[in-house]
Amino acid sequence: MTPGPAMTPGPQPRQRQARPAWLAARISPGLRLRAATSAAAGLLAAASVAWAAIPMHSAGAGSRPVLTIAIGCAALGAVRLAAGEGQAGDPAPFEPWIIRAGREVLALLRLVPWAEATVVAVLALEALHGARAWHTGLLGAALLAYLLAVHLAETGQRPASLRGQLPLAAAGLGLLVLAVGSAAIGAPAGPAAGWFRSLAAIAAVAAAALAVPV
Amino acid sequence: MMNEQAPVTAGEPLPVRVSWRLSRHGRRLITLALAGLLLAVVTRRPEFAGVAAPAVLLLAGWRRDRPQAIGLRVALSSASITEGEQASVIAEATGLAGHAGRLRLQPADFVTPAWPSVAGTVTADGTARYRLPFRAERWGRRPVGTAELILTDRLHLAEGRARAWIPQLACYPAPATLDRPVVLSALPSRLGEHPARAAGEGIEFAGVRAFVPGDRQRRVNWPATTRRGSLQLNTFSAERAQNVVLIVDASTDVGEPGASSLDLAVRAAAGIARCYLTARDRIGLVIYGGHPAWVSPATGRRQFHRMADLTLASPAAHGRAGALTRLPRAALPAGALVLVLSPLLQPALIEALRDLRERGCTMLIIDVLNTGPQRDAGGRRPLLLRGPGSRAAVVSPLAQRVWTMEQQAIRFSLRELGIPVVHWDGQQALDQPLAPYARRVMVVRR
Repeated sequence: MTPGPAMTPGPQPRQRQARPAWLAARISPGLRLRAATSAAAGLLAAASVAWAAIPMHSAGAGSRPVLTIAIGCAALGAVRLAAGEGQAGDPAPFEPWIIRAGREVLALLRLVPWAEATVVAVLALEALHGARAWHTGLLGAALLAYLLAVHLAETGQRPASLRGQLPLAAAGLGLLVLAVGSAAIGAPAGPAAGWFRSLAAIAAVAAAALAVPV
Repeated sequence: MMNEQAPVTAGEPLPVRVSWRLSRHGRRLITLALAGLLLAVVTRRPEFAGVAAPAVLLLAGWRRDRPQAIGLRVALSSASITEGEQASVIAEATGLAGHAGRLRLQPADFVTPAWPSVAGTVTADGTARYRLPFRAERWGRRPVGTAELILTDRLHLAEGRARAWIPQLACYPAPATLDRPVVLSALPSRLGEHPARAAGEGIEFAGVRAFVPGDRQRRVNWPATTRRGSLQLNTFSAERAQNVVLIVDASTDVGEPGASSLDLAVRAAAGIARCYLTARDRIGLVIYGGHPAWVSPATGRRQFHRMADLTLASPAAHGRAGALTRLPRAALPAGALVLVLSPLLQPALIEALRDLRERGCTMLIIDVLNTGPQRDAGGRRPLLLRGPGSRAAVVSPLAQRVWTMEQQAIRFSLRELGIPVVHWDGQQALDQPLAPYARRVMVVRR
């Protein structure tokens, strides 16, 4: 008797290859998320530095040292994110000097605010170039994304935790587009430019007041 | 009353002050805002003000109605665990006012948290519950550390920290593996599980003898009776329990923390106690330190906990300790097997052991010395023995040789007195070094 169509074995569904047990055991989901956000922060920092630097020939004097500082800060910031927030334990009595030195370097690395330094260096590098509104606008969006990625990498939280910041960030990006648009139209010297400068100064004072911890 | 670091334990949540400060994310946003606005003013380019705009708007969400104090209750999932086991810090927080929180453990020595921090689950009544597992790596009654609750607002701009002490944890030593106990040839007449030389009512077959009126008929050995032509009877060994006394040398502690001589001694003591108590023997403990402490031999599970509590309550006390011979008879009963767990570095203890042996005590020493004058990183200079936390010093190769020979001489002299000395490295099962003495009964020599 030949088996009917229902009895013949159909094409087997392709088995998904299982992850090796040692890999699954070693890489926890939290660690994977932290690695992904750290990598994203590093890439955004690199992209911001590169975007602010090009084209180098049109940059003003002093752009090379600023570029060097920006690259250094971005790289060390990425290393600091990769190093994480380890506890500074007591050194063992017979620790080799290389491990002792590594521990000191790591402590120093955690002490410096590399992300802030990167932001300042990148904006300074951008300012050394001539006026190019749309270019600066994209850089601003990239820097905001960089800061959010650094925050996620540091805290180990999921991107969904930033949902509360989304409306304000979107409104801010809208203002960024408006500012870029106004710059692209061109702002001749006059009372409008003066008003704008006054508003910027007031906003700067407000931001500084917010910086004072309460 | 509000505390900066409250010793919070079980019961109702206690008010704990929260110290708020700008978060790192907030600081970075302020940097971006200030840098953008400054460049906009200096370079007169409005696009830089646009760069600052998202950061300024995010900072505008700064909340001032933050809770200055919260209710916090911290407890441990278990008050006592064994070395290497896992327990959890359980925290309950009330009055968070919608702020998200993460529990972090600032661990004390030899405590390893499973994760850097954990998020909590919020119940319907607004109470947030946190559970952070940790592992205790070394025995002792030790602090776990400080529980820190980190609160963040909706925009992650401010960070509030509330700290609370975690109750102490009793961490019992991990028992070494010992399946086969050392049994003496002469056992006191107390009912137990070890077959003795004397005939008795046990189940271990001892031999055959002629029938005597009054013997039980069910013990007649019919094959032997047929062979010999007269009634023969099976005899059995009596089953006795033995008294065992453990002497743990806490007067010296050398080696790496976690594998020091005292660590090994208490782990071995726990393993031996468990093995003998399983065999329903009576076991006691003497801690030889600054002030000798003891638990008289007894049997049962409660005795194990009594011994473990004595071990935790008697920290290492370096220096000259009191004489063992002054211990009461109840602590060191006659005819007991004395197992000594020591690195044999304290001359007073060695003298006391010699004295005990000369009084007819049957002893066995388990040597737990696993360190010695070590070489430095270059492998050239030997280093002095060191205790946990002490600094190393350099000794000459000649001094190292003299030290090694002295140690060998001490062990040789003890063996000559009839005290067996076995070495245990803390890695292998205790059965291995004790095998020569556990394979057959240990003959008692007075």
